[in-house]
Amino acid sequence: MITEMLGILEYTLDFIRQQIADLSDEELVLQPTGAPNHAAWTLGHIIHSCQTIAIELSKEASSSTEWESRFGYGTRPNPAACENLSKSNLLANLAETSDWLRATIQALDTRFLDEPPSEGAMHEMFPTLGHELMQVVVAHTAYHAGQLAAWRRAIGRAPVGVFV
Amino acid sequence: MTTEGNRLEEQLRRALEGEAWHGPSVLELLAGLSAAQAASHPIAGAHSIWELVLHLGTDYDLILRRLAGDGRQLTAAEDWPACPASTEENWKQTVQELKLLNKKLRQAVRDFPDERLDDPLVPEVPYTAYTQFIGVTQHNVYHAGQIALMKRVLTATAAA
Repeated sequence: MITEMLGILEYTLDFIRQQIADLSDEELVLQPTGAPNHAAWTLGHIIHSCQTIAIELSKEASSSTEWESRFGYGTRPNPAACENLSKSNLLANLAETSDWLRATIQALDTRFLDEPPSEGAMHEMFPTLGHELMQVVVAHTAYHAGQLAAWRRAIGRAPVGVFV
Repeated sequence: MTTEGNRLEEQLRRALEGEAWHGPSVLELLAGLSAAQAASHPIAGAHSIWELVLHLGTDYDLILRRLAGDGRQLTAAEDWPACPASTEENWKQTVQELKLLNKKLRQAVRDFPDERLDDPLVPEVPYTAYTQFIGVTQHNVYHAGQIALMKRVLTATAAA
């Protein structure tokens, strides 16, 4: 499970990088009609979700990051949230966070995959940590990759890449 | 059913039917959409929601085909089937077929032996069965993200 999950995560992150490779910092925050979740927010949101799961798995004391209030669950893209976040900054953070998550998952004792999640809300929602990881690492990232690809079309850019 | 089988099957259920952590499922997104809305192209040059729904069904069917030992790749026409006439009846039927294919695939995943998860489903395709099964969810959810955004564009355009 771990190998396949990490392979799929890497595939999706590569696809996400392709979607913004030719966009400027100014284009990353465009909000065409009906598509307010711009690329800068989407990247920040994915970075935040990767951080959250890495924190849970590594049992680090910190339960939140500076990204939570800007890109966490229920947040909306706004200029303040994306202030001082260039494409290079977002990509560097994505690389750092995905490396951290990958290392954390690889270090995981696989016996825990069949145990209930330790985090409260996740414990309610998923029977095992493995179920949780599939949703957060595979499904959540792919969902936002789809939104990002559609957002790219909505700002008038041609499609890039083919998703699976 | 094994834990792995349960996990893989459950992802397919959440992706289509709901109770997903990642966001709205496909059926939740399709709720309330008319045939005309589903057939429209709210983002110029991009697929319609109807086309995406047919494409999702094709992906379910492809894995069912491979489970039956058929290793043929999809043709372009199979991958992106043409939409039927945009009547409410046809739209309901398209959604119904998607539900049925999802159900069939979930049953097949439940029945699939754990010890074969690391083997390819067919010799023509190098991916393991595990990757194919989780890949269907990944593909399903990716297009759900697109449908979510297109639905918002439809709503915003109608309100403007």
